[in-house]
Amino acid sequence: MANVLLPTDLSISSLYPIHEICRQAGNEPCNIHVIHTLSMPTGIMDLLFLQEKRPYKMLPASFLEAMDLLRTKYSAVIGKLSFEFLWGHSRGFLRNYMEARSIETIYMLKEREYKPALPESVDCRTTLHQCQLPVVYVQKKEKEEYGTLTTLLYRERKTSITEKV
Amino acid sequence: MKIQLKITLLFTLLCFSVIVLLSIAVYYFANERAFQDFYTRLELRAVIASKTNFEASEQNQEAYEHLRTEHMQRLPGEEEFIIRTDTLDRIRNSPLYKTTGSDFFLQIEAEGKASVRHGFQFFKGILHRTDKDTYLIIVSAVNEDAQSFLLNLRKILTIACVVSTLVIFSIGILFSRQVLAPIRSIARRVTTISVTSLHERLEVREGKDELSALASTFNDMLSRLETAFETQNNFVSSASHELNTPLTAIIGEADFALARRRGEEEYRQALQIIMSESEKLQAIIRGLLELAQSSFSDKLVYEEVFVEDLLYSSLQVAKNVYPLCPVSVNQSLHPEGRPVSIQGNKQLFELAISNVLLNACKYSKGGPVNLAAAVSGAHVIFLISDTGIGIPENEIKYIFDPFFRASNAKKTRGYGIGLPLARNIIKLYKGQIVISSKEGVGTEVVIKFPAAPGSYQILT
Repeated sequence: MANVLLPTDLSISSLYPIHEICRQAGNEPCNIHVIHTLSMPTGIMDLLFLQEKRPYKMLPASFLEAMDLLRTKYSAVIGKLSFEFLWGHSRGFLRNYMEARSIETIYMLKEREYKPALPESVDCRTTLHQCQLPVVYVQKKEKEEYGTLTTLLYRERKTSITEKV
Repeated sequence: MKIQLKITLLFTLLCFSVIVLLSIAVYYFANERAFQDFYTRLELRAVIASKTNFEASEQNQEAYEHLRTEHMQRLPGEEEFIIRTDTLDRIRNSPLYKTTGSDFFLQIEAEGKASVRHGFQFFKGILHRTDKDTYLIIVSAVNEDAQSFLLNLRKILTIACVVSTLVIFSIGILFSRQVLAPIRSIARRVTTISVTSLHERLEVREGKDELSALASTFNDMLSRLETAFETQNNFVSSASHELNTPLTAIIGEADFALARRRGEEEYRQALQIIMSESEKLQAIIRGLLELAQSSFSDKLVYEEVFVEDLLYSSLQVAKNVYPLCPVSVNQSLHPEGRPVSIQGNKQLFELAISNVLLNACKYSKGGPVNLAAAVSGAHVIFLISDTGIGIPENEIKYIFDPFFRASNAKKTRGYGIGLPLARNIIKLYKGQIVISSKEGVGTEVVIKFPAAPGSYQILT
């Protein structure tokens, strides 16, 4: 079963590439690892009292709902759709993470402005490029967002993909 | 009986029970254990008696006798018994044997000593072995101190019980009055609130206790009542206004036509205006009727309604009214596999979704309108979005009020009944409707209904 990585900024539109992942998977099920990277605190007291589960309580309900919606939509193709906060964004850390999960491909939205959702949020897209794995860009017509789930509506003819290894 | 008195009596009864139990325990254990020292004194006398009678040396015997007679206080009713064990059968009918019981003698023989009490007469026995025989030495006396001690103790405990009960009762009254004071205050305040003063609220104290919760709940209820009354007043005045407008036009036109003899064309024009205004009136009244009916949940119909059918029938309604609007069903979020269904009345669901869809088409400025369905958890989600005029942010909260028209929508014809009607239907079937909009950009309406049980399961 293929494993793919999808970095997000916890916005619903950042889940949009799941459409393309499932379209490209065809009949072969795949596991999608959705991540959001956080910067590891540097202070000793912060490290000592770090609560790994705290960010999960701040996950937007709409984001979880959108994941559930896509999981249901592509239930025949998606083997596992999981979400994880990663405390760290260095190249070595991300490479180890992807190696442990046998990630084969990274998907992300093309030319999308990263909007940090939490104070510790960090954009890891640049670092992911350096991890020597294929990166697939999914283009989505960026427009001013006024809704939530509308951003997930897939329009095949308006999507363009470029691959970069 | 008032709750205050009940609380006081309950509190008093509980404390009284505890005090009585405690008193009984104190008296019992004092009765049982407080006279060990008397037994010790009797034992000492028994030992000295054994030494006096059985010591080998005569001098020692005399010394012990001297000690006993000169230095030891004679206890009230003190008696001494020295019984050889092989003569026990002879004393079975004696008062001593009958008073102490056979167990006492058996215990002395088995363990070497024993003690027993009969009322306030105490008996202590020890076993003494000589070279030839074995003797039971028993000393008994009356513990007069114990008698007076226990009598005093009983008096003290009784008085303490009575006094403490009275004190507890008084404290209970004060305590219950203090506890119930906030409830009395709430009751006094609530009696002052009437239909004309629904804006008043109860004072909510800081804290998370039950009384604060009660006051908050009352305030929430008052807010809902106030909103309901205001909505009703607004509805009545809005309905009157909306109905009055076409009626005024009809009457005006009829008046104008009847004022003097006119030509055929003028009569035709007047009748056409009367006809069009009558149709408007009919549409308003039909909408009001549907709105009123949608508020009644007594006879709800529950049947399986397939989501895909619903989407396409609503789409057809929209295409019939706005054939030029680019409205389409987007299947990109619709689950693949088994069909999805919801439980309810198909006509009502169609009415709700098509009302929202018609609004989207009306205000889309010719832009695309999307209708989609998705499943998330235990809900079926309908999504209607457009890229039209949007709704001003400060007016979104009024969008479900009957007859409300947004400030940027007044140029477009409408009555402000569609969305309230849709919301009522959605609420009837335990659904939710959420509107997100940005003026000049577009509007998204998300409608959620509980999925029919077992209608869709994720394929694993």
